[in-house]
Amino acid sequence: MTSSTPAAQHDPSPYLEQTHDSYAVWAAETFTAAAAEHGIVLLTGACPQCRGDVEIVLVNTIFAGRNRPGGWLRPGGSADPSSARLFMCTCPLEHPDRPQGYSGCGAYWKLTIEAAAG
Amino acid sequence: MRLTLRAGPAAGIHELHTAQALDALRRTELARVRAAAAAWRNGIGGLLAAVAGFGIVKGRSDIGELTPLWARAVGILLLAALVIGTVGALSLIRAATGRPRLLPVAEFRNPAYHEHVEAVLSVRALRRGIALALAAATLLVAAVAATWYGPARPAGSAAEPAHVPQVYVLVVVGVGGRAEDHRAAV
Repeated sequence: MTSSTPAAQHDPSPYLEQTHDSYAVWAAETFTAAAAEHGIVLLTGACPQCRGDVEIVLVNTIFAGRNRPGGWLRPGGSADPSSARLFMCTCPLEHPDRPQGYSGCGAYWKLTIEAAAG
Repeated sequence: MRLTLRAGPAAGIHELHTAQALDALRRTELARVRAAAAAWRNGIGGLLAAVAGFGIVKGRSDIGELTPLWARAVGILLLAALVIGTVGALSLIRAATGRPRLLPVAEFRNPAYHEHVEAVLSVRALRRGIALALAAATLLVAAVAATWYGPARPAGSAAEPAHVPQVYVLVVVGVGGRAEDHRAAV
């Protein structure tokens, strides 16, 4: 039986919010994107900073609730799938100094998602 | 649909903070939808119960006293209120509790994905339930008003019970987690 060992490549450096031009290039080349129902896009790949496995659920709407701008029951968020969206590492692995309630290593980058021609 | 990814422009720290806030909202999304739906279900259930109860308290209680045309109109209004109210109540319950559905393992993708899909479907059910329940309440009020203020059958005219629809409005609402049964015989 064979098994992949992405966790072995994971860099457990302390949590650090930072970006670099190479992050977006790496993600654009290595991440896979799949369209799902309700305009959701699922992206998977390895974080460009810590190499942890990342699964991102990209949503276009979110339940606003009564205390949010936009009013009761109105979904919010960008509805333009062609605009650049920000992504951040959400790997579930441990990174010291990570604030409570956060995930990942702190890396972030922007990608543009487009429907492939043909 | 196949998707392609391209490197985007430089990202700012404020955009990261926005994305983190959005992520926090998404993680609590389904619980917030459920709480909102339960509150709406209880509130609208109370409203419908009050409307039905008010219809019992005062006014004419037998549509056999109305002219046949008005009696039939009241019957249609009550039937529409019953059907629309039932669909609305089921929508509100669906939004508050979810669908009793088994997810085929082959369809499983990601917990966050399924939670967001359920939240989207629940918000739609909640909005539909609110609209239908309010429509049912309006129809119920119209039926009660028609019963009270509709023209009376002329004196000496025999009632035609065989042609008068015997309609009961059954409002089953969850209030505080309990099911209550209010019947308004009109």
